[in-house]
Amino acid sequence: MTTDAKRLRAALPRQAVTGSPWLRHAAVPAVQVTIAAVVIALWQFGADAHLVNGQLFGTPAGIVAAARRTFADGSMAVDTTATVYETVTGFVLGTLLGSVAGLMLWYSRFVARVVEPAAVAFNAVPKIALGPLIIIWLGAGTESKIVLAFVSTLVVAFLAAYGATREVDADLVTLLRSIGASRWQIFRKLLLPSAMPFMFAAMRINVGFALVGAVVGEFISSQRGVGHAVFVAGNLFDLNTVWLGILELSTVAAIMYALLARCERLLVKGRT
Amino acid sequence: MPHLELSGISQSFRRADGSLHRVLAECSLAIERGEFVSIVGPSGSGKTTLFNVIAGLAAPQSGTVAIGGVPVDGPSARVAYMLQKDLLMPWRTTLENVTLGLEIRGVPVREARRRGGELLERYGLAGSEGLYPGALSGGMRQRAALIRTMVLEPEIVLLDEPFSALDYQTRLMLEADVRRIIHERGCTAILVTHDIDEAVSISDRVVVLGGKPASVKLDVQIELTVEGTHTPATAREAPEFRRYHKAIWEQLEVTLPGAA
Ligand SMILES: Nc1ncnc2c1ncn2[C@@H]1O[C@H](COP(=O)(O)OP(=O)(O)OP(=O)(O)O)[C@@H](O)[C@H]1O
Ligand SMILES: [Mg+2]
Repeated sequence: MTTDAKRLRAALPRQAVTGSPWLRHAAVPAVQVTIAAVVIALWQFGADAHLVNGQLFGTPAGIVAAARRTFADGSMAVDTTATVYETVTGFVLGTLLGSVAGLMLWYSRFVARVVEPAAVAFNAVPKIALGPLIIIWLGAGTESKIVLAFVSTLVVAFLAAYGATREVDADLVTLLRSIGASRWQIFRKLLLPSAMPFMFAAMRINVGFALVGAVVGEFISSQRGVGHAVFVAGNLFDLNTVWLGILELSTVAAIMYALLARCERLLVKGRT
Repeated sequence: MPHLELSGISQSFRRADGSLHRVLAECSLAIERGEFVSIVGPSGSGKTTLFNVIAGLAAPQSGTVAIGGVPVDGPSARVAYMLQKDLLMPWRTTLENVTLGLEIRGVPVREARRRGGELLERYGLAGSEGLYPGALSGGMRQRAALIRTMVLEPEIVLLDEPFSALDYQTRLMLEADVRRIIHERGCTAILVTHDIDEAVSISDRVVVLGGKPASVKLDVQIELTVEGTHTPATAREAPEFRRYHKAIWEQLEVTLPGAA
């Protein structure tokens, strides 16, 4: 069906598309940048004209000043490094362990049936509710943030990988068995590649979960990190620094998404 | 000695309520080397079940399968199985799909690629080596699946309704190809189909499975007087064609539920 649609589209005359390709590709970002610039300009203008309470909402100029200050005193580097380290470590550990455990359940229907209800129940728990416990057990250092990011991502990765093993085409398993494939070969040549898109979908969700885990951990108790900086600034009504932290977190998330998309293009082939 | 010999194959499955569902009862069949045999029978009569037994994927409840006199007790390199769905892996290119079985059997990659590429070229898929299945038509996909089967150089090919999802024209073309390729390579073939025309026009022999539990109802040798070369299209024009068709249809009709 889809190939027919594709061929049909290829066969149709292209007159509907107008303008140079450069213009078409540049149009979307150009509009986005323009809108952002207008909003920022209005915000700054509103604050300067006392139409917007700069004390309550912050100002673009104030955010820039906060960025300069934290950049100069080195706290921006320290805080973002700490948060990125916690988030990425927790994310990688959670994704790896969750995916491996989920895929392994393919080997044993029995273990799968035992584990599944527990995993589903744990998935429903907001993981940040575990924050106080984890911080009491592991202290206010980096480890407790990593563990929070880890538990936030673990079950999502696990359920996605486990779900993927159940989606595998039984006829393909029959085909491979008829060729004489071992269970390990079936795992490597069929299960793993067909689970890949599911695992990437889970990873896209987990970028956000890992960040929330790390930042909430920093909120509760910490010496550094973007979450720490945002929390402290919030208590001092320093809204510009809060905004700066939010911008830093968005940037981290955007970079992680971009890296993930690149990995996906490398690893997931032949899907249109 | 027959190439493939089934003696007294019975198979049952346990239903959810614990009772026994008998599918095959005492099926016996001897197939000579190089024969092309079609099996027809109503849906649920146990044709796929029989194939799973021949392929060594499931042990029969009783009876034996022997290939060249050697009993089958697991998947064998001498048998290749082609299913109704093409089962191409979407993350593998056509060539990578074709070499899947060779990879599993431990053939070195370069050797596998050479053999796969050669067959793709010979059987009309030259130029599609690097395409993903999503970019192939239904007929091309099924042809790739056929090449994936034949590249393993099996002695016996099991074809479980491989044409049923194709349109009529593509189907006739692929039937002709399969018949030619199987003969060319000296393979023994068993084809499961619901299409009596297809069975009569492609085979040397047609076997009808029927009854509950199913057993061999009819076993006819097909001899058609074909003008020119034998193709599924010319075979359908043979004067004997209708007679065979009718004989098989009558056997099937008896076993059709609710046929009055
Ligand atoms: N693994 C299994 N467990 C339980 N019942 C099974 C199993 N495999 C097949 N059956 C049953 O055995 C019967 C025969 O199935 P089979 O797939 O062999 O039929 P078939 O002749 O190939 O039918 P079709 O023409 O529709 O493909 C069916 O009633 C089916 O439900
Ligand atoms: Mg079947």
